Amino acid sequence: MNDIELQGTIFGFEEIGNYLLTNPFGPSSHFRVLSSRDGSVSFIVVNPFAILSEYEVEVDNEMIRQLSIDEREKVNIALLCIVRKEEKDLYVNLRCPIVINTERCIFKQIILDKEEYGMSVPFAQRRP
Amino acid sequence: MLVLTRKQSEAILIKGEHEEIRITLVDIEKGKARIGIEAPKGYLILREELLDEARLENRRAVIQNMQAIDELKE
Repeated sequence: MNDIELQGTIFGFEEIGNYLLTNPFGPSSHFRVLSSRDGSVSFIVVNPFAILSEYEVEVDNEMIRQLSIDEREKVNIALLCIVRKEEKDLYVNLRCPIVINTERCIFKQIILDKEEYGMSVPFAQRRP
Repeated sequence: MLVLTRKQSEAILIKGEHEEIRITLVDIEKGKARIGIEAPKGYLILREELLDEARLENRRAVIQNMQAIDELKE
């Protein structure tokens, strides 16, 4: 996957609407970097289905409409990672996935109605 | 903030030009109110603290320096 320009917003950064999804870890990595076009914020994101065996995102009709999704295969899900300097563990936000329509280059962060999904869950003892 | 008093099962309407949001006081018990909300498509209805938590976690997820990315590459 090459770099993709995306439009969408992240909770807490509602003033930023343009992002770039890049690939600094190489094409085989499950990790990507989502950076605002102005360079003010960057996030590490991960494909949840590559690292978790049981993870479900329900994309409802409203989401399908908002993201102009017409084929399910155009949807990608990414989770924000929290990398803490003092710890080796990576944490992921399972509760608030980013739903990306890579065809139309738009995304939306959602909050799942699943209390069992934490917002800061350790998932790896090792570096990706 | 507009504050209105409602009895159980009474509702409040927020009417826009084309759409309306209906908020119903479903039940009151021991200092807790159960509130029903009917809103048009496009509205995200959330407990406020959940959105606050999501914002906080997102801020914590911001990469502080690009060195973090280089470390992950290794």
